[in-house]
Amino acid sequence: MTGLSDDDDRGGRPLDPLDALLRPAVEFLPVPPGSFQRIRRTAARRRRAKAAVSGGLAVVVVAGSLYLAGAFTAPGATVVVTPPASSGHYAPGPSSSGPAASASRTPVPAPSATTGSAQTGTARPSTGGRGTTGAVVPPVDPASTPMCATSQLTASLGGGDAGAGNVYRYLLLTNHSRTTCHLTGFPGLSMLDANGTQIGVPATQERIGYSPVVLRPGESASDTIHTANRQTNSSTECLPTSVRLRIYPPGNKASLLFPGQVTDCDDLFTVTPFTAGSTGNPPS
Amino acid sequence: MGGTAIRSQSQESAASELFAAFYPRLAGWCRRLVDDDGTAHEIAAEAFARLWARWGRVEEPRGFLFVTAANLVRDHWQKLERERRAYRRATTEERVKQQREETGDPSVRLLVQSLPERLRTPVLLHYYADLPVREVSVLLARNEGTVKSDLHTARELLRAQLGGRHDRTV
Repeated sequence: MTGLSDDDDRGGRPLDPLDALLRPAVEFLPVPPGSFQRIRRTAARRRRAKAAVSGGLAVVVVAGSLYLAGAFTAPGATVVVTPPASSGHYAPGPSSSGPAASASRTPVPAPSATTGSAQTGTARPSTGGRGTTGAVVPPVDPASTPMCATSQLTASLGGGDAGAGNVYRYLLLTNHSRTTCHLTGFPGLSMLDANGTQIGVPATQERIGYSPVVLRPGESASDTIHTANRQTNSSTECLPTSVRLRIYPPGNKASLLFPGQVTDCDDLFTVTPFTAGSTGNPPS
Repeated sequence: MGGTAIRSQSQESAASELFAAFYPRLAGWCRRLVDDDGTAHEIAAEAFARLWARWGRVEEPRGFLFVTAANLVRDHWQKLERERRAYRRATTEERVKQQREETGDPSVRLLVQSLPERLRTPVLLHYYADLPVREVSVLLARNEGTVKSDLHTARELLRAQLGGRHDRTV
């Protein structure tokens, strides 16, 4: 120890109550099995999320300037800057609206500009059950597919991951129809009790970048639901655990109910946008 | 993404060494400040997660871990305090008092809670993370003399508080 004046103090007064305080008998807690790997995974996931956010910001900057340039040269183009999640006014008719129909509905100046518009639309989501109607959002359509309608989709909870008090569950949407379609952005997600009454507020959006996910028949997209473990014995810390979940697929006003147990503790109940695969977003 | 296999392998083993060497102590220290083993483990784990989520930008991991854990503990207390306030509205003062006394080791809590940030951090780094004054001064970008004087001031403040506390309990 190189503390100088402190050492003098200690030497002179062995019964100084400060010593018990400042030089406590070192106490060790054993390392819980598997905790190293768990914490490493959590940290890696956060690094990826950070990278996605900063990458997303760069896209916003670039796309924003492209969009401005496009807006000045083509004043006729209309792009509504809102996230497609649950604000879409899209009439579900996937088979009738073929490539031509959706192409005519989307006077989008450049694909990158629409990515930008999706990115900047980070206002609070009008999620689950509120029935709010946003502006009409032209579906981003990179593969000439229609947006997936609720009737084409099956929802389920997939695997998950947990660590350091955090719980991550993957939420899957599977295209059970015969038509290829796409999903873009966030779902509306809320928790229901056994009577079908909503618990708490809908999930908030965890703002990471996203792009359209094309779902061929039978394929799944997934996002990640993030909640926290109970930390104390306080009765007010956690809401009741859900029995079912209600999901509004991005851009849809019809919802799906499916069994799922999720507990919102410490007001942490967030959802990421959809990405391809069934291991959440960012995929693990 | 980013980083060769060799680099990430050596990172991994460095992380593993640090964890083995330091986790039990950090969790043990947290345990003195909170109610139960579970919370202590969660706080220690969260401190490590935050360290590794920004790996490469932390020059002194030990100091970072202790300061982070101290902040998490303080957040935990604040949350408990908010809950107690809500609880107090619904129940008797008596039970609230009981609950307060059960929380953690009061003398160590006193330390982290009562000191202003400027004094708390050097105390944590020097006494609990066992960093020599010179390293503390580098970490905090303060003179060694300033750190020594901060530590001295902190001791005097704590001594005064301890005295007051003993008077009250006797």
